[in-house]
Amino acid sequence: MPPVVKVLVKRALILFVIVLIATYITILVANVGGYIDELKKKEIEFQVAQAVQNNPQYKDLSPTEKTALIKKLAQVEIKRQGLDQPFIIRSFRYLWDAITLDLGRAEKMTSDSGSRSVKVIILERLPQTILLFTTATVINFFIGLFGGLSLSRKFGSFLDRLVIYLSPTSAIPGWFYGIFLIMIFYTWLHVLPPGGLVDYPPPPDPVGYVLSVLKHMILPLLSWIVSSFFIGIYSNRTFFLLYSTEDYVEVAKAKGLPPGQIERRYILRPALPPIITTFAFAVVFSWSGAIITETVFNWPGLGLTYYQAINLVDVPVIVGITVVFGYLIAATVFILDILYGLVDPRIKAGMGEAL
Amino acid sequence: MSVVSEELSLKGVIKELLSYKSAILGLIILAGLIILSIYAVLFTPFAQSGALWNDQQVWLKYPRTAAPEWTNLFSGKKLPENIYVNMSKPVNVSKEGTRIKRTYISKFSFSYDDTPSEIIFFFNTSYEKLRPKVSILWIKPDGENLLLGTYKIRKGGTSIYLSNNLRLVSDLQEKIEEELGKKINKSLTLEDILFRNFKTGGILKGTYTVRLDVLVKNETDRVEWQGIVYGKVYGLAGTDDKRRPLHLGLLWGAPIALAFGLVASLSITFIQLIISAISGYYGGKVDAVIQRLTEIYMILPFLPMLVLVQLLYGMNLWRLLLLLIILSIFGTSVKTYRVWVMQLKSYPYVEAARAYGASNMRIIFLYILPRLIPPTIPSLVLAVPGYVFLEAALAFLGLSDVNIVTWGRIVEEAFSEGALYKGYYHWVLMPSLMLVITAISFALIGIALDRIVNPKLKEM
Repeated sequence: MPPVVKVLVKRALILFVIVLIATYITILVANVGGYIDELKKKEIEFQVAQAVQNNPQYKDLSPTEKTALIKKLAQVEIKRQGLDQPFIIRSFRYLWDAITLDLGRAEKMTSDSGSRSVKVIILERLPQTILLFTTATVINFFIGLFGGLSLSRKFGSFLDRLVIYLSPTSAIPGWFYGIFLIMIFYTWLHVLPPGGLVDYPPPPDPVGYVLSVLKHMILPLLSWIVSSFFIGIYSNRTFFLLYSTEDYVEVAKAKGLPPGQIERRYILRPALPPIITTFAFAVVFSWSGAIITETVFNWPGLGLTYYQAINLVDVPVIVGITVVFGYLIAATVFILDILYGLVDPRIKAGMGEAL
Repeated sequence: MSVVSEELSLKGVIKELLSYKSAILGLIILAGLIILSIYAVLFTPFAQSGALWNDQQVWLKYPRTAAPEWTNLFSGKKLPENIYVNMSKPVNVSKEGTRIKRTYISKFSFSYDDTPSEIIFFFNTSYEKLRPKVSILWIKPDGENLLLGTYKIRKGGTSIYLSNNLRLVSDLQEKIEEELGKKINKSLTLEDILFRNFKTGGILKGTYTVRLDVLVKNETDRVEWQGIVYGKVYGLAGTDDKRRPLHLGLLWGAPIALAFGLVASLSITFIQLIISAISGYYGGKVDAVIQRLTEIYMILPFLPMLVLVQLLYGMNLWRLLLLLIILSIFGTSVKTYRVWVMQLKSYPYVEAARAYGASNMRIIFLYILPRLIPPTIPSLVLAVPGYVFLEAALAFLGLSDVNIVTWGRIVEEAFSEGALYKGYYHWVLMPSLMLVITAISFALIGIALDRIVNPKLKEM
């Protein structure tokens, strides 16, 4: 096995163990109140009751006999599923269910297709979240990168000072700008929709549909761009300036290399690994930020589903989404590791130690 | 970035901080917020703020969703303020059958450009046998008389909501249509009927008179009343849909926002520093465990976890704070700080301390930590707005502590009651403004501090 693959497999295993532990913590937190137990028992009683009602064999029983039978069968089923076992044993079964994404049935929520399965609900909403927040993070990343690079060339200019002065505006999070953007572009100017994924009714042709989705994406995207615009450019600019004071850059300048080449080879190249780290953390951060931004813009992604689950106190959905978020973050960290290996020669050479 | 080598004195930092104009602005705003907080805690019933805020009875005499008063300065249309029609001595007391009739007359002048928002009469009565009867007569500046009904008043405190009385409104509209000799196509509100001139459609300015005839059975029967013509502007920050004056909510939210943000930021930074110092100094197994923990923490979905716990165990601001600290102490900064500790560990003065036999704890707390504090101050200050907005974000998700008033909670209430769509801009903008200036003040100070503490940045 080549060393790179070996390192990556090892890394994936470590990450998986970490996801296991994180999920286990989630289960412990969610179960101290006894919620999952209650839930499972309720689900069993519901299923047993339905089975008894639909079974022609029990048709002639009186209601009291039926209730007694349901109770008895439910007890048997609870025992069979091991719900009478101590919590420590059960917690590991819940962990297995969560890790294998066997997320159970939602208490109150349904997917758009009418399913009660938490997995279906989550899979239905996940693409919208990834679409919106990956786009936002990528746009912000490139704005910061190129803005910072061009500003570091114009160090000390009016534009440079303006960006420094405006960088405190980024202390305000994207969702908060979202409220103002809705106020300006919807309530006041009436040019953009205040939220949602597509127009209602959705345009029948695919082109119209995509355009409608794009129109609905403008405000949420803009809110995140505004929020990180100045700080993104400012921190990248400072970063490049720090790198451009390194001795080897001075040497390259002394050698008479063209500025473009110095920038690419001697400033951008060594700065790449930390820049990628920042990007990956921005992606991870965006998953969490999704909850509140999607709520503000009524964007039907995982975050909004999470919010709805909170309002309905639908614990299976909440735990399910928490687990999925964990997986998403782990996947992002893993991709980050691969990218790191690709761009950082020190890691490529010494594979293993640096990770 | 490496740990700063030169010693930074607190005095020197403050002196340098004052050389940044942006930092001075930030400090002025922060000082204002602190003064506001002290005022709120000492001079308002802050301890009961949550209970008061939730009690709708307290705010009955304030107008509903009124804009701030100062908006009148900027618009050409002068919106009405609250007008109180108070009881004075009866102008006439006479006998009517077996009952006693007391007549009250009150006048007020009205010179605004819009109709008021509501009209309510409040009564406080005590009587022996028969309920007192009250009839209200409205006399407009042009002399038109409108009878606003006769009411039997129950014992104790009662209020008569004239604006909601649809029967009264439609009867009055019919009467007006009769006088005009033509139909009015839209249904008028009580405020339109009482304050407009129907020939021109404009607001009738001038002196209005309210006449109350109170019929009581006994001489000792007591009837106290007050009429309120509710305005459309109120106070410094307006009111919300439950008539609560927002300036009070903003005032009560200030100490909570500052305390929450500062305590969260301070405690998280210091605990992270201690953990990194232990991790970096001891190395080996301790280090390995702590580093794996930070990796687990990275995977734990932060906001969903916070929400989950708040939901399952009930909303409480101080538990949220504790939870936030627990969920952040193994954050990614631990990795950065640990590298600094490892650099410091090999410094001669640490070696010297070890040589004369200083204990590990002594070295960590007296030799390493003090050197780590200055470079973390900027990020500590810069992190404060994040925590303030985190509370607002949770409030926005409906997870706010009902026992206190926070800015986030007010924004959430405004948003969920559709203030944006109904045009009650002040309701969203006023609490938002507080959040924004708080965030900006910390950011201004933090960015300046960053440049002072990291001298390499200063040249740039």
